[in-house]
Amino acid sequence: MRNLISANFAKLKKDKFFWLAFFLMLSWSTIRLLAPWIEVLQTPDFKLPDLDALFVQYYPLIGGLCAILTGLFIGREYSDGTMRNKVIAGHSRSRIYLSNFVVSTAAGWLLNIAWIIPMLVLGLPLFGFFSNPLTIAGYTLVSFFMIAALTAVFTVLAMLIPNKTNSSISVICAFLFMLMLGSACYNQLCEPEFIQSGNVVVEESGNINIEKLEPQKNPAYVEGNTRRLLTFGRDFLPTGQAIQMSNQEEIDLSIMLVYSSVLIALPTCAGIAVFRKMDLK
Amino acid sequence: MDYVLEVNNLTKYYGKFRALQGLTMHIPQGSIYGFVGKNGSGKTTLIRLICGLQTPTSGTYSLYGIDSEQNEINKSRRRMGAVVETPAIYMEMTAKENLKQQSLILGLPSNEGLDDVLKLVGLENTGKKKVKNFSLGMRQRLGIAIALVGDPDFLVLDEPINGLDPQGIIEIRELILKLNRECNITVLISSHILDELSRLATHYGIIDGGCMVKELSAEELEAACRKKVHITVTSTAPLCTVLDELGVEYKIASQTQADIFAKVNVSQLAHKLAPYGCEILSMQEQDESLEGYYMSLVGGNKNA
Repeated sequence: MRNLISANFAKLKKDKFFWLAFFLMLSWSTIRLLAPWIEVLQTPDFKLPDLDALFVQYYPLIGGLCAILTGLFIGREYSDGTMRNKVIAGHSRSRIYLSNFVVSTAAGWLLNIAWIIPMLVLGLPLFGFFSNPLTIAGYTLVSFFMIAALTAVFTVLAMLIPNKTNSSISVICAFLFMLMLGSACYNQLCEPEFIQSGNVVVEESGNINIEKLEPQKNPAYVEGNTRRLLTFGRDFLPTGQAIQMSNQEEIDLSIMLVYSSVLIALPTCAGIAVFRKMDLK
Repeated sequence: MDYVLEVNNLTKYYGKFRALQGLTMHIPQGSIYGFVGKNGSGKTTLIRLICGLQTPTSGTYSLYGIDSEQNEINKSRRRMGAVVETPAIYMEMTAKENLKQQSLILGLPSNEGLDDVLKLVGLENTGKKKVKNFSLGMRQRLGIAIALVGDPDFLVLDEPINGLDPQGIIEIRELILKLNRECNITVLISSHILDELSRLATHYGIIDGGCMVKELSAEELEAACRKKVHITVTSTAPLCTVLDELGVEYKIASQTQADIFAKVNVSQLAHKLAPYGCEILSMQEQDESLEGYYMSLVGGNKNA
């Protein structure tokens, strides 16, 4: 498999979209760091955000870049017909599948690193050290697993749909679906249990008072099994994890790592099983 | 005889469609095996099966004596190179980069010899030109070059001259002959351009409807296709006597028809048959080519 991984990395090195995405992440990260300082120069009262808030912003969107990258990277193997060369060269289907997954994941990780580098090189001198370094370290660890889990899902689609256009569209649709699902779970769970309401009272003197009423039960608040299911969906889906981290929510690190590992293993095993039986043209 | 590839009773279904039906095939070592058949007769299906791209529904094949059901079949496939349908090449890379990529896939220790492979196929001067800017013939030659990385001793070419101009066809033909004669590479070529195939092949396999109709060597084909005179007479018994007297090779087809494998002097023959009361009713000179032979076997549709 080492040969296949080397060959895939050599291909990645020449992949224009990968470099475009890499420099996009580098530039985006740099711009996010410089923008508050430009604001400070223009408005001296502007309060600088802490580095933690800037660092976590990219999580929900990196999955989109990984989706396009994986779809194109693997799809090109089919469109150029080069998948055949690997089979004819005597490599097993499992190894071909795994090598594509490994290199696509590595490409996603490199994009992750492209965001992190300016945050450390520029961010630390400009904004000082992280307020919650342990939380950020935990988020970073989860983000690498999250990218691998997303790539595992994208790899299944890209490997089993032998048409570059169809596989790229499917992979992007899968990402958008997961993002919407994760976001829906998160938003639903964010609903408060009670709603505080009140009456606005205008006194004769003209003063306005707000008279607080007893907190009301929020009808959008979900409980019981539905809440457990939504919590599972939010924590299990990589996009749900990304949304939580970008909102600097407290996360259960171990649960997220376990969920990501499951999401890496299950689609990969299923993908290999189907790919081994698949007729290639 | 040593066979590079032996196919035994191979069957392949796509859903309910039967692409191959109990196909049997033998490719001798050192040969150029011309695989002839109509569009949709199962040529590419067989090639996909032996390349490991698809799995047979039933039946087996052996590559260098290794059975397709053994795990070692993948290893034995390393001794073969193939161009299936269109050349499998990275369009955004140069010719040399494509070869380096194949070298990595095969895990070759160095890139030495890649320039020689490019030279062999006549692409040594393509420099930094990307493959997407190559002509069809150049891409075809690059596909063969990629198949040659790793020094295979069995080359499988599926329709290698499809869509090429006359110059391109000549270049590919010369390349195949060179590989076979100088590098001793066994070649399997599928094609329906029979005239071109007959200039190359040392052995033939004729496939129709997913079945092997006939396997024969070029010598056997030549014997089957040699010039003959088809004669119709009132009775073949006196004809046999006269032809034996003349020492001519012949074959009796019926009580009134025969094939004579020599040039005959019509007047002399008629004169010698006259005392037996035997008359010549008709004579036709026949010169059968691979195409004619193919048509006689498969019949009907001219679209080979």
